[in-house]
Parts: sequence; structure tokens; C-alpha cells
Amino acid sequence: MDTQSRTGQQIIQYCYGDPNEVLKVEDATFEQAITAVTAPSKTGNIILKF
Amino acid sequence: MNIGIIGAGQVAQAFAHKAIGAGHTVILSSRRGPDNLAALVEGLGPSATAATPAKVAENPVVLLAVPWPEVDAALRSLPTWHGQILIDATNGFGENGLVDFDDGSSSETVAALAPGAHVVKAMNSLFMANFALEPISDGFRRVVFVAGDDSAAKTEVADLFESFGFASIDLGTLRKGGRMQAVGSTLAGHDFFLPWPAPRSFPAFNGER
Ligand SMILES: NC(=O)c1ccc[n+]([C@@H]2O[C@H](COP(=O)([O-])OP(=O)(O)OC[C@H]3O[C@@H](n4cnc5c(N)ncnc54)[C@H](OP(=O)(O)O)[C@@H]3O)[C@@H](O)[C@H]2O)c1
Repeated sequence: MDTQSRTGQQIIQYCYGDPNEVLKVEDATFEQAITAVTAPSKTGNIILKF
Repeated sequence: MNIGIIGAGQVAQAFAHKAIGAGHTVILSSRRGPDNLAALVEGLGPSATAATPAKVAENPVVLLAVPWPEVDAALRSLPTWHGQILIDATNGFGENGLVDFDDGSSSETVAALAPGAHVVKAMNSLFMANFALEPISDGFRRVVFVAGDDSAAKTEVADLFESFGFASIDLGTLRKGGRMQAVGSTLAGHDFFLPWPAPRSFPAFNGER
């Protein structure tokens, strides 16, 4: 699982039930980021990192 | 802390278990009167009692956990609010499905029906089956989202859920944050975790970037 990173832009990381499945959403509002990762195709617990 | 609960169903009971586990005292209520809740409060133990909804609403923190079609009647039956915190766990499910609040949120409707109360929306996005589970696991905490227009009240509610073992995330106002966690929203039904300790708000979101 990647660690939190900040590069001057907000980076929010989502890890699903499988910790190898990591999705990063950069430079987004929380709402945009959540919308990106709560797609119906995604299942499992969601770990947020921001 | 003494916490009043309007309702005695699934949400009320799940909340009561967590609150008692964290050392709080709960007072439950329903339309059927306190005597009908005797078996329930006995099962919850000495930190639980039952009272009328009006009595329950005198507590500094009150949870609203009734079905949406009952919200109006439940709140109208109460005495005037004088600054207590009202945690709104209700979801806008009407008799004909999801209620349309236009650009507003269901919690704004709740706030309008409870003038004088500081309304904070919370618990809506979680299935109670998940809420009832142990919230702390392996360095992570299950998330409870909070939204409200009164910062002090929101902080108190966020602290309360953290005392239960959850991580609280502040979604902003009753309108925006309320809509985000309401039934039918992107957050609804998902089970989120945060590495703990964690910040309470997503800076870019609250800055409305
Ligand atoms: N279940 C979930 O997973 C979940 C998750 C998030 C949010 N929610 C929302 O939370 C709310 C409660 O859900 P629930 O599942 O706990 O419902 P529930 O199990 O049906 O319980 C509702 C409770 O409210 C009481 N009640 C109804 N009208 C009342 C009134 N006018 N005054 C006082 N008490 C009243 C009922 O008792 P009497 O009928 O005896 O009065 C009952 O104890 C709903 O708005 C729901 O959409 C539910």
C-alpha cells in the first residue's frame, strides 16, 4: 500500500479490499475523488488516505 | 454524557451499544412509551433507560432515528429546543421511495422542524450491520461522516463518534455534506476506513477547490 504523498497538490489514495488495488486521485475535490472511486464496478472496503 | 435517542429500532440500538461501550448513558424513546421498551433497555444494561420523546429531547445530545415519514410528527411533538445537539441519522426514504429535496438536503428539513437545535447529520451512509462491527482494525478506523452548519456542534459529534472508536470526516455544511452522505449519494452504502490517526477533513474539499 502506498504511503500518503503530498506534492503541493492534494493526493487522495483509495485502497480496496485487495491492498494491491490502489487508486490515486490527484488535484480533486473530495467529492470528485469519491465519485471516481465509488463506481458500481468497485467492491469491498475502501481505505482513504489524504 | 447523557444521550437521548428518539427511536428504538435498528439505528437507535446500534448507536446505543456503541455509546454505552464508550461509557455514555442512553435514554431511548418511541411512540409506544417507555414501558414498552423495558425489555430492550434491560438487555442494554444499567447505562440505558427509556423515557418519552419529549423527556429524551432535554438531553444535551439527542439522536434522531425514526423513519423519514415519521420525522415531522416526531419533531413537532417536542418542546422548544434550546441549543441541544440533534444528530440526524434519518434518510429521506418516503412512502414512494427517495424524497426529492431539490437543491437542499433532508437534514435542512430536519433543522427547519427543530429550530433552536444544532443539527448534525451523521451515520447515514453506513449500513447498521457495518456500524455495529468493531470500528478499529489493524491501525485503521471505520469512517463516520459528519455534516452541519454549527462548527462547535459538529466537532462535539465528531468527538463523540471517535470516542466510540470511529474516524470522523467532516463533509462541510448540512446542505452539501448532508447531500453527500444521504441515501442515494456516492458515499451511501460504502464502508470507508482511514489509517489512524487521521485528519478530520479533506483540505481541498473544505476549501471548495
Ligand atoms: N437501518 C439502517 O441501516 C439505517 C442506516 C442509516 C440510516 N437509517 C435511517 O435511520 C432511521 C431509522 O432507521 P431504523 O432502521 O432504525 O428504523 P426502525 O428499525 O424501523 O426503527 C424506527 C424507530 O422509530 C420509532 N418511531 C417511529 N415513529 C416515531 C415517532 N413519531 N416518535 C418516536 N419514535 C418513533 C419506532 O418505534 P415505534 O414505531 O414503536 O414508535 C422505532 O423504534 C431511518 O430514517 C433510516 O432511513 C437507517
